[in-house]
Amino acid sequence: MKGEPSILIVGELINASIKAVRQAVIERDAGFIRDLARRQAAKGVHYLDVCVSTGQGDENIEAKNMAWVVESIQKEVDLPLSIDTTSAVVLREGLEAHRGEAMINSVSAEGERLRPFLEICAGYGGPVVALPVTDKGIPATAEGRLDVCRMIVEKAAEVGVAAERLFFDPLVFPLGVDHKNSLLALETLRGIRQIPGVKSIMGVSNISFGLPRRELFNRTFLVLAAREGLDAVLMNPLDGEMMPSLLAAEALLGRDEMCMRFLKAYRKGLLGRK
Amino acid sequence: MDLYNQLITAVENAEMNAVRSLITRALEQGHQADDLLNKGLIPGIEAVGKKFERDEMFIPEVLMSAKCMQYGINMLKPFFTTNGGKKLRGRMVIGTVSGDVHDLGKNLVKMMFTANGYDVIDLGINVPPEKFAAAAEEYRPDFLGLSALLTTTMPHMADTVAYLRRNGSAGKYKIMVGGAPVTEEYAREIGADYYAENAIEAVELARKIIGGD
Repeated sequence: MKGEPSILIVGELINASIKAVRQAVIERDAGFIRDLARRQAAKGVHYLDVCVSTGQGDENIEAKNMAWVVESIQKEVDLPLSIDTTSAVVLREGLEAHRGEAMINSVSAEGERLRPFLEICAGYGGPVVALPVTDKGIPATAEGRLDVCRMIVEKAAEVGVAAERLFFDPLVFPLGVDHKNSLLALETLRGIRQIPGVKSIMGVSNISFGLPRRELFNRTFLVLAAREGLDAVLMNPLDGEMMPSLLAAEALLGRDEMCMRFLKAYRKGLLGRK
Repeated sequence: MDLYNQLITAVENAEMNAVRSLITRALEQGHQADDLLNKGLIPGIEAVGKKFERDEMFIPEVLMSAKCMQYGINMLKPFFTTNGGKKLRGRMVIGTVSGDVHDLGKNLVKMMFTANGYDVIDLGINVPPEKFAAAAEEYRPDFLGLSALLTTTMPHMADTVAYLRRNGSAGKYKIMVGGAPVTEEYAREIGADYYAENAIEAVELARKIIGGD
C-alpha cells in the first residue's frame, strides 16, 4: 500500500492560464515546465494536468506545444498526464505524444464538440473528464447539471465509451459571489454518485476566488467533498496543507485501514512538520 | 459627520438600512438626488474600489456594497434632474465572446457599471461578433465590453475586435476587453482600445475616458 490517498490527485499547475506557465510555453522553456512537473510529482500526485492554451496562434501551433510539453514532462517524471484542451486537434496530438494512458480533459456538450471528442475517447482508453456544460452555458441547478451528465453518459455509450471511464465535474463557482455555491457543487456531487458507473472529479481552487486565506477554503472544501464520495480532485499539490487534510479526511471517513496510509505519508515526510 | 459622509460610510459598510433611511431623510430635507448620487453613493463605491485594490476589502463585500449602491440609485431615480429623469454616466454593451460560456467576470463588470450609474446592455454568453456589432448599432454605447475566461476563446475575442473594426460603426465606441487570461499586451495586440484587470479598474477607466465626475 502506498502512502497516498485513495482519491486520485491531479496536479493543476501546468496550465497556460497561469501567466508564468504561458510564458514558458511560448518561449519553450523546458526547464521551467520540468521543474513544475517534478515538484508536483514529489508530492505524490497521480496525474499532472497539462493545458497549453496560450490564446496565441492557431490550434496547430497549440497542438505542437502540447506534444512538446507532454514529451518534456515525461522525460522528467514517470506520471500519466491529463490532456486539458477544448480542441480535438490538440487532444489527438497530446495523446499521440503521451507515453502510457493519459486522462482526457475534457468532453462537454458545448457546440459540436461532444461527438468527435467521444469518438477520440472511444479509440483510446483511460479516464475521461466530462463537464455538464452546453451551448446555453452551465445549468444553474444541480438537477440541470445532472441532466446534462446523464445525456453525456448516453452519448458516450453510443460510441462505446463506458460510464466507468467518465469522471464528472460538478463545476465549482466562487463562494464569494454566492454563498450557496459550495452547496450547489456538493449537491451535484451527490447526484453524480447516483448515476450508475460514473465517477466524480472536482477542481477545488475556484471556490476561494476573491477571498483571503484561499488555501483554508480550498482544503476545507476538499474535506467536505471527500465526505460526498469524491473520486478525483484537481488541485495545487504544492499547497502544503492540501494533502495532509485529504489524508486525515480519508482516515476520518474510515477509508484508511488502521490509518496506515496516513502514517506512511507521515513517515515519508509528506505531511510536513513532525 | 455630515449626511454625505454618512452615506459614503453606509455604502462602504454595505448597510442597506442606513442607505435607505439616509436617502429618505435627505430627500425630505430637500437635498438634490443628483447630489446624493455624486457626493454620496459614488464616492462610497469609489472608496470600496480603492480598498479592494489594496486587499482591504474582498469580492463578497464589494458585491454587497454595489448592491446597496444600486438600491440607493433606484430610490433616487424618480428625482434625478437630468437625462429625462434618469441620470446616466454612459452606456455599455457587454458580453462574453463566442465559444465561451463563462459569465462571472462579465457579471461583476456589469454590476459595477450599473452601480456606478451606467446603462448596461448585457448580451449574455457565447456572443458572436455579428451580435456585438448589431447591438452596437442599435444601442450606440460609449463602451463595448468583451469578456473571455479561457485561453481557448481569446482568439474569438481577437476575431470579434477585428469584425467590429471592419464594421462601419466601430470608432464611435471604445472596445474594452478583460478576463482572467487576457493581458494588457494581448489587448493591444488584437487592437482593443482598453484593457481592465478587474471590474473596479474597468469602471475607473471608463470614468477617466468619458469623464462624468
